[in-house]
Amino acid sequence: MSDKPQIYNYNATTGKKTVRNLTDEEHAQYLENEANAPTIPTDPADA
Amino acid sequence: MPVPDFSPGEVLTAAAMDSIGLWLIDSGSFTTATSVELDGVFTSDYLRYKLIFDEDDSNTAGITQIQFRTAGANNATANYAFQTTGFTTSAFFTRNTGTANQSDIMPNVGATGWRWSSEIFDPAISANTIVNTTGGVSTGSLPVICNAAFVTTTIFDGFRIFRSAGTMTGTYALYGMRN
Repeated sequence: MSDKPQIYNYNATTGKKTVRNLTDEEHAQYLENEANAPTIPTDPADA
Repeated sequence: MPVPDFSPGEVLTAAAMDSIGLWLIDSGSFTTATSVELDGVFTSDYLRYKLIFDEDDSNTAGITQIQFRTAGANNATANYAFQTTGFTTSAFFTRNTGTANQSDIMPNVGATGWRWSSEIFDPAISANTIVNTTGGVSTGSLPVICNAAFVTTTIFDGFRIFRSAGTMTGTYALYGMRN
């Protein structure tokens, strides 16, 4: 089990399903998004 | 086209198979995912698609969103327009944009356990792609409607469903709808 979130991909052309961990850059962005998630409910200005 | 009446042991004909209106393209499950990507799923076989999604989310402040993809690349251009309306047990809410880099699917109103389905029109032809979504939460009262469009004529072969914050665990199924 990974401690990083993952990205699931299905490619119908190849028929392959893959799962990968976030890259370090993606994980940093993920943590930033988590920290800055807007107060709920949002208004359009948060889009 | 009459409804086919299949019998055990029957050899299915191409005509019978072609008469099937809703065809499962792919289904699967995901765990602690920030994004679920499906590539190569929009083809000339179908004009319209049905996507069914169950997701339990780690951060209820995150929004479930969609971007289309071509050849494995996200289209993050500011051509997504959408409007979301819903009703919690205590308040009506709405959210919309002029154009954004992605479209909402389900909002961030403090709920998880989203169960929703979208009809996706014309992703694989040179026309605006339209996404009509209805959904709700698995417990409590929270009906939501989101109407979205990619407002330029772009051909896509896939899409991704992702969270603006947090992760999701659940299942999906994508169907092609025959004319």
